[in-house]
Amino acid sequence: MTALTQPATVLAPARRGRLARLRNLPWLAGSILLVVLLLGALGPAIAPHNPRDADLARSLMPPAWSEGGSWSYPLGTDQQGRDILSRIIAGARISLIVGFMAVAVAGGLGSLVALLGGYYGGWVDAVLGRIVDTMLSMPFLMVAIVMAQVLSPGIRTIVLILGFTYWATYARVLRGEVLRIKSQDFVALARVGGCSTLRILWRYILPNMVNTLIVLATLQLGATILAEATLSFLGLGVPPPNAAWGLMLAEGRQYVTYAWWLAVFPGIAIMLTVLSANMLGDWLRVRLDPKQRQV
Amino acid sequence: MTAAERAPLLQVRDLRTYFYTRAGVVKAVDGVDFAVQRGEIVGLVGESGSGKSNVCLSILNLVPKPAGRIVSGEIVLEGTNLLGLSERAMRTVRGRDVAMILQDPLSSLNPVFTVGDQVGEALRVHGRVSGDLRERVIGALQKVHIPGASTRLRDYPHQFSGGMRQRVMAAIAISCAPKLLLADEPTTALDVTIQAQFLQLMRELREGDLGILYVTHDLGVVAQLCDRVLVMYAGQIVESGTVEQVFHAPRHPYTAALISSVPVLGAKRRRLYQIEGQPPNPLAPPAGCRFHPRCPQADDQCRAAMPEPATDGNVTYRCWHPLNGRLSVTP
Repeated sequence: MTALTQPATVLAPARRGRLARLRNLPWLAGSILLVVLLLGALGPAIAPHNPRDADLARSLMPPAWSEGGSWSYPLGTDQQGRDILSRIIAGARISLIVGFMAVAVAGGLGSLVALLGGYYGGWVDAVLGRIVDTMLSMPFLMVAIVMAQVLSPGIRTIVLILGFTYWATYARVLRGEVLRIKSQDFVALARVGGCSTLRILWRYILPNMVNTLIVLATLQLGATILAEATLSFLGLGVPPPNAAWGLMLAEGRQYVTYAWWLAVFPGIAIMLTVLSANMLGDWLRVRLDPKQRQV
Repeated sequence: MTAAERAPLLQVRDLRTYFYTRAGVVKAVDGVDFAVQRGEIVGLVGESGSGKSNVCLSILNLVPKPAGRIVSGEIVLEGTNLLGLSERAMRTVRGRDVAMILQDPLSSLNPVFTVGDQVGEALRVHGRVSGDLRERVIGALQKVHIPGASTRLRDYPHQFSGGMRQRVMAAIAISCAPKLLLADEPTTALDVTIQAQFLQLMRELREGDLGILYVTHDLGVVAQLCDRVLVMYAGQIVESGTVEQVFHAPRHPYTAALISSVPVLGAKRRRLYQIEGQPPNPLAPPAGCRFHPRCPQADDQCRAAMPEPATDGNVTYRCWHPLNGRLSVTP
């Protein structure tokens, strides 16, 4: 009888109409990401100062609302007198470029491996599966440090590092999807209908796993941005004087006891962006899952 | 009428499809001969695992590899031996000359494309887009009686009912005007009224020259729909003939037993007939006639050798002791 004492879940009647649909959008996450996207896209056009414009005479100015702050440097300045707000705006572009490109590389590679392994099965799957296992068991930082030492520093290197370390997650999850889709009759009928293997992969399997890919990619976007910040923090990422968020965090670390704004504002930027990406991913997961969606 | 026109549409000779598993060789199809004429509906009946579906897969040369292999035989479609074709040539046969309908209407359509898109897919794959693709798609949907075809082609599969989806599958199958349609239990998942409508559709489709091989384990469907029937048991065809003859005067005890185990509406209430025992282990089928362990009239001859097909009028059977037009099976 214990099961019956649980309150019954009452499903709200599906609200129809445009207004109801608007209300169900992830407003908070969406608007934060939109702001970050706009900052990244417009960048220098809306930044109040040049993010690399140093002037030791105005170094370590506190935020505008603190004593000694000035509204021409709303979030204060760093140890070289560069405007923190402008540097965060410039960092948004780097974070987004790295995040999206790394997700694209990892997602593309992971999807390809999942399609090949899942569809062909047999020894192809066995070999690819072991490679995926190996990738997933390698410590991310060790691989990243080695790769960063070997390759020359820069955005392209970071994208490669992150793409290379994250593709296995996609491959693992999507392979299961391929197996599930492959066993359905419409794939068998495509064979019967004379479709080539390439066409079956492209028109029958890939479109049916795209939902999972989108959700995974959105959730991974946050992880990737965080990883980029980690690498930059460790000095393995975007080299100075670029204004990557992780780099700003690293540079502000030594001043944190008496100039907290150097590290806190880029930290908040990282947190809000990653949080929004994760919230959007969660929302998409529910939205794109036909079982959880109430039409 | 020329000789080529009189030759059957599909002629299968001595087809053997084996599966090589770790536990041994499974002879899923073991020496099957039959023909399908133009405009004819041939029923293929048998228990689960008797090799019905593997016959269809063999015709399309889609037996799951690497375990399954067509060991010997000929599958001649309009004078061409399909087993001699390259994979590339076979791809143009699939869907264009030979089409197939499957059992499960829920998973037989690609959920992410519209129905119109999927009916057009077959036409695009085989490059048969003469004139307006949209018109062709609407034509195919109208042929299978989908109401409001011109508006419904923008709908997705989940917006269709099971019976309608089965029709869409039929529309895809006939869109390229195939010569042979393989129907693998297409009505098993449908309820009886929808099933009757679908069988009516099958009858209409064969009005052209379409030959249909209709796989089922429903003898009622065979009786309503088919011209001839093939009865399969453990990978072999044990009896074949016109539906009328096979149903009224089965020669093989297995056929007779199958027919006796179907309940008859309005008949005196009694215990339904059942065939004793289990279908044979496919890895080690019994020697001699494969039905002998379950056959009430088996003797030493049956245990020793499988009889060769014997023909009597319109019926061909493989039995040492054929029944003489009586339905009851008694030793």
